[in-house]
Amino acid sequence: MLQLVIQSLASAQDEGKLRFHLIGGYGLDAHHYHRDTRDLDILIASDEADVVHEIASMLGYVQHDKTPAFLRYWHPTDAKFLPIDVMLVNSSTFAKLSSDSITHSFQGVEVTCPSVASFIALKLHALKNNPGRTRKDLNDIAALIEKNPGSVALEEVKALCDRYAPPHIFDKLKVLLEL
Amino acid sequence: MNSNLLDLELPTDSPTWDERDIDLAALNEWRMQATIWEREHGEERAREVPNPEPFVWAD
Repeated sequence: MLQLVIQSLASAQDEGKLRFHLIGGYGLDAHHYHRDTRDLDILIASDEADVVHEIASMLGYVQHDKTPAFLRYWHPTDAKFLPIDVMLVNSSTFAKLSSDSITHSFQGVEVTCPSVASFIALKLHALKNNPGRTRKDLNDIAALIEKNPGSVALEEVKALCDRYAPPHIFDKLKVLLEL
Repeated sequence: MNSNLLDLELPTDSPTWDERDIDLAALNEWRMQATIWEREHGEERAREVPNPEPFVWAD
């Protein structure tokens, strides 16, 4: 069922109706960081949310949550259809995140995932908005850096922290990285 | 991770998470089975709604 979902999204992308990046735990696999996850996370431009809604509805999902930044879909009858979390960004942000995205084979389907630097920015934003996620997201960031040496300079990480994170996050990250 | 989950007889053994050349298909199958098991046993994780503010890439 996971393959059916991602194939449906990829088909819409091939038809020019939708652009999406795989994020979350499944997206982190693209950067050699493998952790547990319980849902399918994608990132899209907010003006294409209707396309995702149409696909999800066609597959039997119902919309469970909706905010200006986020949609969540839940399948009421079949647990094999994992929950789908949809992160919404504006078109220019989507374009920026696309500029250095990488391709990744997911369930036999070619998808794109944000770069390490973009993932770090997204994680910093997430923990800034929800301090309860700090440990989880900082661990993800540290693992991304450790498993992708040379992909992002420490100075760039600091700049991302200064821009997107609450104070002192870079210091905590350095402790995690044993720097 | 739920300790009961570790005792499951899943289709594949729990993957070796740090392995660089991990079998992603096996890993994804394990994640899927773990998700289904948790839902069927009423042990789904609390799912908060993240990111009240949209992420905006600031140049």
